[in-house]
Amino acid sequence: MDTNELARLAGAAGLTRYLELYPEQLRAAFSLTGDLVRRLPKDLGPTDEPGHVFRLPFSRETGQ
Amino acid sequence: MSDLGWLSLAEASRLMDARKLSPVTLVDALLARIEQLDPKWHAFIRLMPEEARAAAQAAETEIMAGRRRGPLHGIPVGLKDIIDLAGVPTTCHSKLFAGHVATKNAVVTERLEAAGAVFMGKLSTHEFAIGGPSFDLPWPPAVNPWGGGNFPGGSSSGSGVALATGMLPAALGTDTGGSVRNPASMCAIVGLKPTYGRVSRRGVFPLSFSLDHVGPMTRDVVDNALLLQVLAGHDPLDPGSVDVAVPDFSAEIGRGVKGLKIGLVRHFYDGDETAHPEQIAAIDAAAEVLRQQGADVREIRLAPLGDYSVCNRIILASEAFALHRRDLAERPGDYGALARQRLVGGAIIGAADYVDALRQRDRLVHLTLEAMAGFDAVLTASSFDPPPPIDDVEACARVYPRQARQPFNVTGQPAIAIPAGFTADGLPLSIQLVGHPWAEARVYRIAHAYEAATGWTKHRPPGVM
Repeated sequence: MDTNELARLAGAAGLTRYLELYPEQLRAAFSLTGDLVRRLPKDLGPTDEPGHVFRLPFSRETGQ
Repeated sequence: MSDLGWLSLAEASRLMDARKLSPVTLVDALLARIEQLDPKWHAFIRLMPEEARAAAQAAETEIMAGRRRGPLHGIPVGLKDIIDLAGVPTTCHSKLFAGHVATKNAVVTERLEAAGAVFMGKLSTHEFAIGGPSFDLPWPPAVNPWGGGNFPGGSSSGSGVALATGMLPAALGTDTGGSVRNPASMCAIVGLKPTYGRVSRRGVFPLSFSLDHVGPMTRDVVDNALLLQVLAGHDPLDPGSVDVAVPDFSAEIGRGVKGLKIGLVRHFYDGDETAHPEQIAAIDAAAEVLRQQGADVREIRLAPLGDYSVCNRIILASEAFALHRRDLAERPGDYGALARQRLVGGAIIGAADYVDALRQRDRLVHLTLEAMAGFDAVLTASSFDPPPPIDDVEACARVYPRQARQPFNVTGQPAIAIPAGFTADGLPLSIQLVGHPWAEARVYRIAHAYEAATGWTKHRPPGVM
């Protein structure tokens, strides 16, 4: 990851101070995460819905 | 030193029932042990001797009046220091939270208090349950007595060490990518991650909402089931909690494994990755023990280990960054280096990537449960390596991700890590047993049969009397 890309990503994440304070940590962390993201499956289809979805709280009083 | 330190929860409870052991005597004995041992092993962030003695005295008064509340009444316990205890700091082992005093009990704390447990103090953790072992925090890291100065696993490191040194008979940990089962494996104790939704997380500082679990940590399987019995139950104010019946988790203990079907997931540790040879041999030996006890153990395949690991780590990194982004931006120097590095990576995960990881999670759940259909449980590795020296930074970093625990944070299934022998150098080895959702009782049954046949949970670290 080159310095410009690192600066762009840090800026977008609100972590610009890290470029001065912890540049190597930031580079290592972003590099590792980028690798994880590249390993996500590429064959997810429209019916692959996430299991963790919004739901309304259950009310014991109304039974609804 | 008093051997009351090695009393199990169940043994102590029986003695208290028979009025042969006073909670005050037990608490005093453990406080003396802690004072002697903890300067070396650093299990505690905060010891609460006065509060513990007062609670033990109150328990004794009730018990002597014939009002024993149950198996936990008068039993000393410790809380990982991301779990709230009203009026006491919850530090998360971090400079950021050094002055953060909890105003209310966590639900699990409340349940323990109602059961009459005696809180001994708050236990070391990796910073915010993610950054460790670290030497740049306000408190030192907990140290594993096995090997005399090794990595105790984490993040529930203090809980593992307090049990392994006989400072406590029971403790709570939390598990997002394996943090109850890792110290259980490294410290030769027993740790269970219950089914997601079984135990409330309200009042526990989160790491990753959709992956976090609170779990019981003990020195043997019977104690673990007793502790889970108190912790389990629906909490309508925890969005992850599920309103299901709480069974008797000890009901199947002692029934053996004859006729049970157990899938051996070998490809996780001998294929997808390669575990330490002594660890592989220990799992092979465990499979054979279960066969000799009458179980039908046969190899099965789940998804590749890396699929679960990527899914777990992207969800965890995304949710953890959302929680910490403001402090990471405004107070970066107040984090230790390891927590900071592990947390900032989540900054570059896009919304679509996070959603894809959630979608992949659902697929992995279905695939795993399909593969397990017809089986009572699966047997696999927990840690792939024995614990390295805690001051060997490179070895700790290498060993930390080599594990097969993350799959079951992704699927939410109950999973227990239990001791499975020792290396030629005397370092702990372990196995992991995983059940169907809500089937903790079956997991305990198998774990107990294995424990009874092998006796590995009765071993104590050399040099810790």
